[in-house]
Amino acid sequence: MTVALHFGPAIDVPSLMVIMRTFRLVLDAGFAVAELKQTQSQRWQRLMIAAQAAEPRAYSELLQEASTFIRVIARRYHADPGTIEDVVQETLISIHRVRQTYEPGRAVEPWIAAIAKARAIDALRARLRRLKMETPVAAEVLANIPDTLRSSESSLAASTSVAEAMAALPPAQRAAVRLLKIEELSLREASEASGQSIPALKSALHRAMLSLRSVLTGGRDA
Amino acid sequence: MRETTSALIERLTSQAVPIKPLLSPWLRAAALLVPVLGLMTAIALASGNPTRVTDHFSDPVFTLALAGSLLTGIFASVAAFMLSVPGRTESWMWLPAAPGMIWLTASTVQCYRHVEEYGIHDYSPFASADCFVFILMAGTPIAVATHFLLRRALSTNLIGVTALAGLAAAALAAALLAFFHPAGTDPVDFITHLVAVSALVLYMTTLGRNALGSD
Repeated sequence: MTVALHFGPAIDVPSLMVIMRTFRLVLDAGFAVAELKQTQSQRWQRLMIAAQAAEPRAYSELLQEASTFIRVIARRYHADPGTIEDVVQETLISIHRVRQTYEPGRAVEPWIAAIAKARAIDALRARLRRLKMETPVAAEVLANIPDTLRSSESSLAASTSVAEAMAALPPAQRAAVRLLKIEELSLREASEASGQSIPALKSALHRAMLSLRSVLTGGRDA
Repeated sequence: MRETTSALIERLTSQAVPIKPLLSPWLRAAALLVPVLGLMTAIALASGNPTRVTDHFSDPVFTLALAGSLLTGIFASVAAFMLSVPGRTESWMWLPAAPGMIWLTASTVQCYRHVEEYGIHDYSPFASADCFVFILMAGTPIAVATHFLLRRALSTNLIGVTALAGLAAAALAAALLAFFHPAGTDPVDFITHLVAVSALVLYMTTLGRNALGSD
């Protein structure tokens, strides 16, 4: 038996059944994916509400799962794995700091995605700033650097003298250099980590940089 | 060297303390607007000249300019609170655009009428200095209150949020000015109002950005 369609060729009933079954399967698969996404979204909402109540297991689970989600967003902006991981960590810190801004009942994904996107763009801006400050060095200049300066001994000596100069600093100044220059924390983060106020940190860093410069250049720049 | 992501998660989890979620942006906007509008009404009735304003309600251009500035302030405030929360659509930014256009257009028509009636004469650029001072003096407390309510939110669009907060404060102050100001706007008035509104927007964007953006 065949079915004649007004707008196309005649299709026999078994073929029509196959087409309809296939269509139903595709539809079911679509619904299943949508349901899975909804379940995931609802799960994150539950975890986020528990995280706001400081439930450690739920909070840890949410941050673990969110870091995978954030990594996907960070990859859209950065190729370097180190920078991607930095973006993931900065986003997790922001999530922790502003978890009160999540409104229970709303989807968590757009909230996390907006924070991740902002941190990824911050990293791009920081990279651009660094690039502006760096000057390309010609190959012949690099070739003329004496071997003694390239040797691992001189690098070791340099790093040892930096370490010694750092060790000689007062604890508050040493903490300022470590947090702001080595760990590259923001002023607020460094202030929270060290317990020093932001003006105190700025002043300690300034004094530390002057001391380090004076020690490492033998007082030539002082 | 930075800690690993797993170690960071462990540290953040161990530092977590229960926190109270912020109220919805609608409620926070209402918490600002209800007292501000109440206070504005009280000031307008007590010290302003409400009769002069109501007398001019029959003039659609005057009414549109007043309604435009008031709605620009209200809509910009709602938009600032919406955008202060991560994940809300950036389209909120355009909420005050329509009343803002009405306000600008109606003020331009008022200027045109003034020039048509009195012609172009020697305008002193400082003739409307008191308008400038009024908008800044009335707008600053509103801007400070908005900043106070926004301080616990992290904005992913800091410039947009602070500019909207400044616009809200300036537009509400300009609406209040209508009760202390002769009806109609001459070109110097109009330019002075624009400069005052821009100054407040710039002020909020610069200062608010430094204070809110340190996250």
